Amino acid sequence: MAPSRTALLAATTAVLAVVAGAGVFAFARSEAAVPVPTEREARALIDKYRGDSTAVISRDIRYTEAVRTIGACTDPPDTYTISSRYSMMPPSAAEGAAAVDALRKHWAGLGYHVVTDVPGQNSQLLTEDPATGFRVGISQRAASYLRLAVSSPCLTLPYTPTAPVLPEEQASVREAYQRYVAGVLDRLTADVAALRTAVAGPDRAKARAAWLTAQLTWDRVGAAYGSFGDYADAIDGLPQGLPGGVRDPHFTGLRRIEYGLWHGEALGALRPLVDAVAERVTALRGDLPDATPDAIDLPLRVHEILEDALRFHLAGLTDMGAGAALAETAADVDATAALLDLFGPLLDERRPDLRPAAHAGLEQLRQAIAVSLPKPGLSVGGVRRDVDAALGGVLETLAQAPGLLEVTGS
Amino acid sequence: VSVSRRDALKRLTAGVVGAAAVAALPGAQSVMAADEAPSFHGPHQAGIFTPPQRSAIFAAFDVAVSSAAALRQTLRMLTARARFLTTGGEPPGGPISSPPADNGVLGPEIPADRLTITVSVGAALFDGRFGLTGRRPRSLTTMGVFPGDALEPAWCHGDLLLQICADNPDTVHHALRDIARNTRGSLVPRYRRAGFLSPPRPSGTPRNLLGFKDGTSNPVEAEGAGLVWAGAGEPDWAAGGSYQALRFIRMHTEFWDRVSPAEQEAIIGRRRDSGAPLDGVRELDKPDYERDPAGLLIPLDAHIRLANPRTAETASSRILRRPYNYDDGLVPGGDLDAGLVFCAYQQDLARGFEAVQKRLAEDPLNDYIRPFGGGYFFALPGVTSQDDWYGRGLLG
Repeated sequence: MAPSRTALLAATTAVLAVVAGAGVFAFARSEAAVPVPTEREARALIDKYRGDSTAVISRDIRYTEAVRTIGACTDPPDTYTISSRYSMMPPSAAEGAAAVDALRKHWAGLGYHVVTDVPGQNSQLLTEDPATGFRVGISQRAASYLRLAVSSPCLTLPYTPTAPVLPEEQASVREAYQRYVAGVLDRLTADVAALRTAVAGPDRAKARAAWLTAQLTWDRVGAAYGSFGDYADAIDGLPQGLPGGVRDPHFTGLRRIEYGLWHGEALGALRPLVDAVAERVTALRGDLPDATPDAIDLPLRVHEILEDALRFHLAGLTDMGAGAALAETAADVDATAALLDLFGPLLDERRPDLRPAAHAGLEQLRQAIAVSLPKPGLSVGGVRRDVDAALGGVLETLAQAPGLLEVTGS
Repeated sequence: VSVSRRDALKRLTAGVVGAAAVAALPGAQSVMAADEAPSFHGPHQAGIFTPPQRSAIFAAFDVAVSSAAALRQTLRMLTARARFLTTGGEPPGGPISSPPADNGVLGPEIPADRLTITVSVGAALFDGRFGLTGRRPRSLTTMGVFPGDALEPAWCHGDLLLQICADNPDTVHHALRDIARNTRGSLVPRYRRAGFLSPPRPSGTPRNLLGFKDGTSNPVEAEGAGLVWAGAGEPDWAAGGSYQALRFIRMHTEFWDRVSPAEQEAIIGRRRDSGAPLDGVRELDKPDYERDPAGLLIPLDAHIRLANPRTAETASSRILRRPYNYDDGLVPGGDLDAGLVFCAYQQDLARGFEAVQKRLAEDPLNDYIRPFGGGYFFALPGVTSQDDWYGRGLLG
């Protein structure tokens, strides 16, 4: 439920960028016979060079940026250099210069070769550790800007890195998703109006059917992972985690209406709950430019919508009486398929077989649900084997997508 | 600073979200388990500062007798069984035609196997059935619901909790079975779950089932008086006891396995391979949060950063964690039912577990775990001599 996943991703994670041409450094590396590390070893060594370097500079020098890249080497072909750069802010130009001097001494003491050493205002110092072929450098670009950089020698990777997605490409997917959500919310507005009419009448079966229609429409938004934040909580928040459970006054929204419809509550008593949902849907519709998840979150949603189906619907946590877990999972399939296609060209360029495989898996899941679901709203019981199999299978496929859709840069 | 980092901060303050418990295993020092047998008699119970044994069962019971005298009798029996089982030896013989005194699971001679049996009481025991209403430990309450919980009543609370730990699973099974038999009719099992402590892979702190060495240093025994043992304001009988928080935490391991290692590391705040904090090199390196105020290397909401911010203000919320991994059957949908039995001892639940829990309300790890049970208990003072018994100060 935490709206958290990508916040982190963006923060620390490595940003993958294939640097065209000669890689990060234009200088030829030493020809010494140094064993080439694996990627895993190289990443650990980068940490080691960073730790070793920051240990000799003032503790008042703070990180302001960290970026990790993979660059293609031209010689030998099909090899890559892994590098990290850390921007740091010294409290004063003098402390920045002192850090450069301290590192110059430190690296000389360790026997590193100087590759380049440009002193002065825009100092640049680059050294190479002859024991490993790693290069470590420090530069002072401005009074309060230091940059520590570490890069590996050219090494082979057990996979081919893909080109990063451009931020503007991600942004345009977000815009398209926002349009998709707007359309779904327009349908939801009508569905909730119909639910309002139904609970005003005497026919419980009709009210239940109207609830299911509205719930499935909301599911098609694909609001996994706390997307749409407080709006989503108000529209279909769950009772678990509330002190009073299903009787907690903060348990409201479509799930609360479901609870009432299947627990003998008077239809008329549900009307204020329906009105509140209608109000929140309208508010969300108006706030979509802000409320739509950040562009950087959307690649994760490609598998998270169905991860939520697995964690919530199929675990029984969302069932407030209607037994609609499978029907809701089918709606999640629709949302996933829609999102997948919004990323279509970006995915197809990077891995042409992924989207067809994902759609085939989604179709298999649809079929399995259709067989297990004699009619919408029926109990979760019955043959679940094929649903479990298809859902698990397609999730493994969908989980390949986010890594292909990361943006580069800082 | 990247745009997304600002978004992260924005979202942190926007606050919705669920809480959960720390998913951590004991610190590296506890891995070098002392070989000597824990002593049964003492001012504190064994099984709290005892270096964690490899196997555990946490078993809750409800008391079925209705008088203080009968409860006294039950606790005396429990003490006698625990004293014998943790010491080991040959069980008494009997006629071959009668049911045997011992279940035979450990062979004819019972090994001690570093067995500890730690007895705790829940708030329910103080409800009036036994005239104990005025004797409840000051802050012993019934555990509430935290955001993100999906508590199942069958897995919550209880009158008594036994934490049974030993170096082998047959030893803990044998002990539970022996105690259940000898208290039959008085104590009714409510729930139980077995756990295990993984060996170092390949070294250092054991890994949890998320694959991470996720333990920071626990308080040491010398810090017990300030952080673990019951303090001022408690009833006299409670001296030497400790508040215990128990949480059954399911891990969505399938989902976790579909998340990239880079993201997993950002969620935890450590390297998966080495266990080093993301700004460090080796497992035991101390994270330097001052050098990384914006959370560029270790995100501000990384699990280790939220659980222990390493500030003077949060030092008193340190708790003695003694959790075990569990791996047990399937959940609906066919996923593995695996996770953590989180157990922690502290001087004060509000200052300890609940303070940590509040900080973890925004922990991204919460998406991958689902607390489904547990409770608050008070570990009784130790049994001090051959004549003493569990709860003598409370009931005697």
